[in-house]
Amino acid sequence: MSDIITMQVIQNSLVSIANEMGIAMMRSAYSTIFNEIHDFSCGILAADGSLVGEGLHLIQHMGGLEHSTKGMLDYFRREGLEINEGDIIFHNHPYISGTHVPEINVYAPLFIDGELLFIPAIRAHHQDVGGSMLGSTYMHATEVFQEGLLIPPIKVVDRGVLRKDILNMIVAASRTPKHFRGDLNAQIAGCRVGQQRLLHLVKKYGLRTVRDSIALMFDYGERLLRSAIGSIPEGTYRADAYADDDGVDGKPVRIAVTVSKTPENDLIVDFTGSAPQAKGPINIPWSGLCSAVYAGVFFMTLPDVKSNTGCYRPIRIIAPEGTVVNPRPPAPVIIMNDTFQRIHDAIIRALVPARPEKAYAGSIASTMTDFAGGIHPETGEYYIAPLYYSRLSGWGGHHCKDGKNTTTPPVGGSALRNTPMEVLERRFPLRVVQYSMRPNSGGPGKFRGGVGGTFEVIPLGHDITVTQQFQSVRCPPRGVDGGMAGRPSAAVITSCQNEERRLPPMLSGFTVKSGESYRLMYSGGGGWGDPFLREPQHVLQDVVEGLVGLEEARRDYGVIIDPRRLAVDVAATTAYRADPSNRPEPAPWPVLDV
Amino acid sequence: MAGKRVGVDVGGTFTDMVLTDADGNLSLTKVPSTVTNQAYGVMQAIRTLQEGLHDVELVVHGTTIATNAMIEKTGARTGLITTRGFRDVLEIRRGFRPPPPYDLLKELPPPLVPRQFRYEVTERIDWRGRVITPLNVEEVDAAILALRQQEVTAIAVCFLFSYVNPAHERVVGERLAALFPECRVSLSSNILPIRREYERTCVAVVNAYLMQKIARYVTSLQDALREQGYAHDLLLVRASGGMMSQDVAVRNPVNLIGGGPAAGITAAVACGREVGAPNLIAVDLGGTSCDIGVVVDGEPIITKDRLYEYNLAMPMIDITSIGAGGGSIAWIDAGGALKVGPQSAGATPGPACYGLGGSQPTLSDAYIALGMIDPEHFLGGRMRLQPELAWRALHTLAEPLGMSDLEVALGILRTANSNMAEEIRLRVVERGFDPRDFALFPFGGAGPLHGGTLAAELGVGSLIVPLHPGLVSAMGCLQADLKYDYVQSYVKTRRETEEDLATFNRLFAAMEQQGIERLRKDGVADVNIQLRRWADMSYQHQSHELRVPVLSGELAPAKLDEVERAFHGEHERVFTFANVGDPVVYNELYVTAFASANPPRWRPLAAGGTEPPAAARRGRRRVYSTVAGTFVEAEVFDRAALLADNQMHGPAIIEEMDSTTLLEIGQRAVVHTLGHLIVHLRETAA
Repeated sequence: MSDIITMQVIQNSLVSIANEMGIAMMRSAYSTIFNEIHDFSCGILAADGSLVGEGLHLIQHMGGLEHSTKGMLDYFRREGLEINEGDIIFHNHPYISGTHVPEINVYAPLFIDGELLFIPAIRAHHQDVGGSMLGSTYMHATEVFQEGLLIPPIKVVDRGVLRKDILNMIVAASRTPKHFRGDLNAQIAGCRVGQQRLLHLVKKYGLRTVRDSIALMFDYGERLLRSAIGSIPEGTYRADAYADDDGVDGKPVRIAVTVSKTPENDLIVDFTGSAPQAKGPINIPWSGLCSAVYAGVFFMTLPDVKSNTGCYRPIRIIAPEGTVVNPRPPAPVIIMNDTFQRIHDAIIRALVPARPEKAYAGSIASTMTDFAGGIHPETGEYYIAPLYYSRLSGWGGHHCKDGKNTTTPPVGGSALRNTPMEVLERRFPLRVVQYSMRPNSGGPGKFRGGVGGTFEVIPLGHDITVTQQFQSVRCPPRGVDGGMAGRPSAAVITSCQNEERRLPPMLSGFTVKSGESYRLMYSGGGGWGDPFLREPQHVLQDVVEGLVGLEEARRDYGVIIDPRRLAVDVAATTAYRADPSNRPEPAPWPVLDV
Repeated sequence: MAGKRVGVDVGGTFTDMVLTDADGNLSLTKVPSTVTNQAYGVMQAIRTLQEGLHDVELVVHGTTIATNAMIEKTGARTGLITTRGFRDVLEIRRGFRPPPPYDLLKELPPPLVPRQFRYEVTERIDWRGRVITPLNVEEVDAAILALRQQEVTAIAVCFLFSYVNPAHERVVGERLAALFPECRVSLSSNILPIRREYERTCVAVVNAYLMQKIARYVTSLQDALREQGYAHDLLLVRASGGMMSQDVAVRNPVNLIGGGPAAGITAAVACGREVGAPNLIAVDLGGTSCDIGVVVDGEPIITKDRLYEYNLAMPMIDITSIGAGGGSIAWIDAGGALKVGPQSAGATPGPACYGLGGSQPTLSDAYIALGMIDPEHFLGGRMRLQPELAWRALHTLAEPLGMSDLEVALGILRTANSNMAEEIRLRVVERGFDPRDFALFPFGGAGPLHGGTLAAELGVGSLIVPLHPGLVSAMGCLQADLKYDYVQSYVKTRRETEEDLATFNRLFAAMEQQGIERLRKDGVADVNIQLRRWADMSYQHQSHELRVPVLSGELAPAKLDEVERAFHGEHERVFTFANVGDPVVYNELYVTAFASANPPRWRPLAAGGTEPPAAARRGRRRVYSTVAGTFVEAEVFDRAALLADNQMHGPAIIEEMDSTTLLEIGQRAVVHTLGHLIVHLRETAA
């Protein structure tokens, strides 16, 4: 009843339906986190929870809905509860197949002729779901209970009837109830659009054709992925990555990964050897782990994939229980997105020998969400200013070109943009004194790591309280194949007397006084290849652009440049590079004296 | 005195020209575009239709030269002077990374001004426009001399908050005039005084980058026109969908980017007005790309968030482009599925059936196989297509797909239709509209072949195939208003506005005065000058803004209430809810000053009753029907011979020089008195 062309036409429609759910969500949400930052994702799942189609949103979200939905279905079965036509289900519990607590999944099971056929679902990161700290982001949490309201799968709409008391209870947990309610309604509205469009699709093609096409789609997805995995030579690939700090212990946390490619073009991604679960909130629950693994594997194999469950078939994930990548309750999980980035980095790093042309060296570690609060000196009102400038991240170098300068970190989606300085200063009593690229921050290499950026701000006429989630301070992005690490991130307060104070990476609630400057310097990416092999003209170009200093050109790259003529001294460079004693000592890694 | 008028649109492959006389007679031509200097192609087109230009009163030109210069990076060596601490705003680009989400290697092109040509000077103005740190003029002079030393030929200037207080930028302008007079200069506060430093810098830089090139081109074309006896100003089509005088184009060439597709949408608006269809989804399908624009209540949707590789934040017609067209190449992916595009065979080698060396199957080869176009009548018979080459190319995919050659052709068509339909649907829905409230307006050489199927897929109410679908953009040049846009950042709440209504009124009045003076300079009589006001509004602390019309004249508080009601209404329409009672902010204020095109009146067709005349009947041919799922016999009509009120029932094929229209089973086309085809879909089965 189907064929490969019909299958494709139906797949187009399914992806388009998932995107349309996203449009409906975006259009009706109250919060900027949805209608501008797009911190949500939409998918269509089959009756057994298998992913049928997914919208193109943030990679942090994509890939995890299947695990969440299957967990939700299991839960209902276990508890002896039925799912009925007209139900809408909410769910966020990290230890019942959820991710971190602010991410609430909404499912809208669709019945046709009395049979459950599809489950359109939206996962969305809400601004505040309660817990110890504003934004449900408590950097020093030691239990999941401190991170906001836990919701096991629950019917908020029961056979078409809204359970207002339940919805009110959920909304009551938030510090921003009006927005929370509006955003939850938007999520429901998005799922309903999915239901209507799916009904239309089934009406147009007939149930049998749609079903057959989906079966073909799954096989097609599997074939696509296996074929892409086929380009990885058989073998076992290992790497590790470190989080700076878990927010409690103050020590780096290791994530180890072993990727094995089998003769059948399976990929086994094994995290055995990773650190035990952390006391602080950097643990990542299974659903988040799935997203991270799929993001790493798809990037290295099939970056333009329109994924479905078939694409997951060749990938097997092993993560021992009780580790940072598969924690046991009640370990806290709110900063899991930084660990997501570490996992992504580790998978890429592991596969460098297999697919160097697809990989890049280490990149900045996190989404680095900073915010400042204070009393506006003119209006007397309390304000919260988001200082999300992690889009000044340096990316790792590639095997044939330099890394990206000052760009949204890999885990951030393409919808993310920095708030303009002219908007920030208009809205908040702050003055930005610097917003620029950070010279000498890119890790030296044959292909240099991208440079990070600097953002520096002064509160005007009042003190501010800042919460920072900052990474790559202790464990800056590492190089590949002889390339060196990027320059570490640093957060510095400069007093009015010009005294500098360096801050640890994760810190809740510290004060920056009126007139003091708060400076965030984002790390550069790791370099790729021996910096002494970098084309001297490229080093010269970096010097001309002011991205590398004259002294650094000599020390890190062995390139001697005549400062007046701005030209490479070829003879001196050759001689300097030939002398092994001129090789720079690699900087200490990790940097523990922060 | 009503003389002749010329509209000429330069595309990637063809230069299209339309000439009208006072009686509404139309002459048309299509000549190959000349890549090295588009002006040759333009003059070539003119020569094919007209001896000299003495009796021509108006030449309107749509050109891709600005867009091409951006793609090919052939603009000037450009420098930038900016506020200390903000040298890299242009390169940081707000941290933007291009989609798709999993593809992390995709890169943006390097910034138009490399870092060594970007200079910081000490100065600072705050958001209220107060000078916090005075401008250090010595540093300015040093920067100018250094840039001159570096042999730049254009300089952009952008300081923080210059949209509130341009004083510092103006001083730099004066120093440039004194120290480096031959340099072309763009001050951000002159080009686009809006808040958001990245966007403003971008526009200033792109403008500076293009100035010299556009000046040369416009001058050389104007000289060539004068030589032929043309005694008036050359007008150019701008991205916001009007035309502007050549001296404005030379000063603000950034407005030319995207002007080509804008002319097509302008024609769609005009045609919609002629046939009484105010809501249109316009789809321009050519050889390599499919441009989609939406018209609501007779106005094209305007955006200022259109992302090229550089963010150009001035108001432009909102057009989405996807990689689909007659030249789109079909291929098989690693999972064994058939894909169409985005790679295109372009003009050379072109589709396999062109016989110019192309061997990969394209959408055009599928048209041949399915009987949709007549290989003998392509481009009015000027180019003979070779079916055997089309079949041979299709055959290369048959075995790997396990299909017959014909099934491959059909698969290509279905895949292309599905790609386009889903994209169009999302574009319409995203803007808060329902496709069912629209008519589909397919144009470009290939548009009318897909119109019927796309209309059914999208569920639109009707389908309008315009007169001369392949020359719509050239026709649009003649239908564009003379139009100038002005903007001023304002950023105040309703309360703040009421406290100082004088300023609010003065800002609008000043922009209107600028517009009036500009149009007078173009020779427009005051009675013909029209003014329109807009504001980009938002709720306080929300950054998504909506474009809302503002009433004219002195605004009293009661009138502000009216504006706000319109804003709440628009918010409800786009975002499904309104927060009536929340503080509302007026962000940017806009004025559009325009003079109606006094569009040429095409000579109406003679009425001919429902039956097409014998002269229009070209016999029958077999064509594949997607409705029937098989080949059917279709009657073939010659569009040039059809008369007003003629009706045709699908399956039918309507051929003309620049396009072919396909009527599916159940569809009925009626010839409008101005030559457009109104296709009724209601009778469609399924």
